[in-house]
Amino acid sequence: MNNNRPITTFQFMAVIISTIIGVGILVFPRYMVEYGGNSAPLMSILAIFAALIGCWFTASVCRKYPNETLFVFSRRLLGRGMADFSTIIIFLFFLNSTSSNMRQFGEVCITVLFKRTPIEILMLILLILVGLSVRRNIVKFTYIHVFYLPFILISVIIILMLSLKKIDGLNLLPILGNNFTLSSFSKGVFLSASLYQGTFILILLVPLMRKPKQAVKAANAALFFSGIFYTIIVIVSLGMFGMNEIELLIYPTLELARSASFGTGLLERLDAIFIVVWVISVFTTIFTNYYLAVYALRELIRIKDQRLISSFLLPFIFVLSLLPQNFFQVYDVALVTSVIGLIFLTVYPFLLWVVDLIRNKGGLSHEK
Amino acid sequence: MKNKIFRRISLLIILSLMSGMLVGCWDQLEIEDRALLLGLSIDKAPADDGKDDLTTHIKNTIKLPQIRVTAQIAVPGRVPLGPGGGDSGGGGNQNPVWVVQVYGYTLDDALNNLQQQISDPRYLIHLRVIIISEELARSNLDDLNDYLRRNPEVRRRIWLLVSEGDASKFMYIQPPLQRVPTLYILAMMEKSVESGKCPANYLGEFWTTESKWGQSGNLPYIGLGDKENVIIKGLAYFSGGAMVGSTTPIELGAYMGIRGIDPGGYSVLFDSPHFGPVMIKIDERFSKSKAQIKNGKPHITYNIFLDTSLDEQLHSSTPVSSSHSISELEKSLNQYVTKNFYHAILQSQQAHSDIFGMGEKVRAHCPSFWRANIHDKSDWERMYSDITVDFKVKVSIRRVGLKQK
Repeated sequence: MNNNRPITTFQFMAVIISTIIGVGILVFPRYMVEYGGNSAPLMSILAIFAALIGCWFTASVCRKYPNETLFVFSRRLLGRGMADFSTIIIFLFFLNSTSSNMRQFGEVCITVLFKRTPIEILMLILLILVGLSVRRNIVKFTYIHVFYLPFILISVIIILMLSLKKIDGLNLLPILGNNFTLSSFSKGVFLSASLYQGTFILILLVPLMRKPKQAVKAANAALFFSGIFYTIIVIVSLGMFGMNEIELLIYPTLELARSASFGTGLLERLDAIFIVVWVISVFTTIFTNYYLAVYALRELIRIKDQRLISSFLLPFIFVLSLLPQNFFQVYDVALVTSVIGLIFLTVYPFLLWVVDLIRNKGGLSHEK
Repeated sequence: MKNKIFRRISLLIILSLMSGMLVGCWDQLEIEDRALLLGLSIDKAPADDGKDDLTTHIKNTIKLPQIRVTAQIAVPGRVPLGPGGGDSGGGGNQNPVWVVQVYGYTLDDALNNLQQQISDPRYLIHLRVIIISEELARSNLDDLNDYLRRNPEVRRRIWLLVSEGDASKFMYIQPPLQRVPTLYILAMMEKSVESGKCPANYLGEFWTTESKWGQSGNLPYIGLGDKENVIIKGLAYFSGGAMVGSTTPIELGAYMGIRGIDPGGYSVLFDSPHFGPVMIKIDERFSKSKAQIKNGKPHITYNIFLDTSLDEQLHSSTPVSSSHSISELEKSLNQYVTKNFYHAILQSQQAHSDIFGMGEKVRAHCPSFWRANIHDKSDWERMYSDITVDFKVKVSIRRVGLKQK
């Protein structure tokens, strides 16, 4: 029994958390402040609940079919054509998400760290590393995530704690912001919610979970945890810089790490450590996106060979990530696609959930 | 079998090729081959100097005032690392820094001209102090800040200082305390923060306050003494992105008192009506404030607590020797300090420079008023001159030293 379903609930949560924490942490405060000014922390908290909707439907529909992945049972629920069409969208979305994350990683590295290294090389190294890791099965995939998560969490928390003393409470007030408009507030919530699409990885994990019944609760808890994590980042950077300054900064969180220090001048330049940690978190995020893309394609053309597809996709992702022509295009593309992704990854599980409800009148018959 | 060996060998070749990628040689540059800029000073160049190196543009295409940048570049191997390094460094007259002066239309233009003159690539990663002349600060600092903000090598913990008169002379000083002049200025500033003489207004802090609509930026204002020593002359305050005035050191003390910046460092020489001239040392400052709207205008109430000790009393005919006399002294001191605070506020109001960040308090606590009236930073800087401020100062003299009467 245990050999067939080796993933514990804790590991399940760890994968989701380490997937969600990724490239976004650098720019997230700026996006929030651009839309909501001082209401950014409130916005990011509300966004967690917006993201919970999609996550809840995905998890609860997967819980009903604890022995199959979503790709498989969707064929039964919606019919082959519809299911394959959705799989194509999922595949394209995560393919694009991988390349977009990769490009954002490259952009940060080239502006901040390596000025003369060609961006292609930076991205290619990471891509090959991820490509090699994707060749492994889901259990190893899970272990890699679980291994790296503490490094990410602990070091980011240390940097945040060092910055805590520099927070000026006035910068966080008023809570609703000075220029509150419902439309930009809801846009911000929406945008922030699109950050949490990594939760979709649970569709691959549930079939291997030791206790698949806990999937919904665990997925929600993991999402909530990462949401709080992001919110704290927003609060700390807003408290430290104030909204006007954040709007000027491309990477507010990096700037936060650059200003953090132990004592006065004793240990400065923590941005180096921060970037190292951030690279790890980017790796885990890209890892998940790549894995989902490979898996979706596998299901689509019904091939069992994960390794083949992983290598096959590598050049496509590489070329796709090189397509944006400049810095602003990179982020514009990322924004648009992530919002499309949010809509699709909320609506599609909801559709499956409804169909399942209609077909099985409660769906208990499938649970073992 | 053959296949397996072939696979192993090809894997080995690929791996050894890839290991080259891991070392990151692309950006490798030995520290000796870098021109590390330690300090920069920026002045306005005298008009019609005709010094245009034309490294970034074609002649007569740029219509901007010129600036003069003086840079201190660390000479590799000569910067002493420890206190004993002076003798072994190979002779005393070897200067650890090299001072280069260039002209340019913008900071980046000037630094490009600098690059044209020195062989090693310039690096700003170890830049610690930037000194700008008052003349330049009184024009516009935004253009300067743009380059510094964009450049990832520039840290937020750099000191940006405004100098009285020429800024370039600070680059040529030969202080006896430290062998590297920039490090002397740096140590000077850091220590004055520790002793409460100067707020920790780093470049990052200045940027943050300048960005806020409800606060105006301020920078330390320094001057040069007779013996090439750096004096903190007060605070240079800004309005609309340009410097509009400077305070005296004691007004800087008042500023730190109003903002409640610890530790207290300034002493007040006060001619009290009953006890004669006394010197009161401020040990701790604490400030609490409230913003409200009164008669359609913002009104700020400050509650300021100062913990002080008596350092010196001249004319000891009526000594401060009892709790009663202390409270009497405190009372007159309260009035005096309050008057000083009002004076500091009035001065900044006349200059439309809200260095105390009162606008931020209004923005935070009276958002509806803010939204209706303030649509730009300049709106607040204009309104700042009309707001009313109330002080409730409580000076407590805790200690009198070792003398009883």
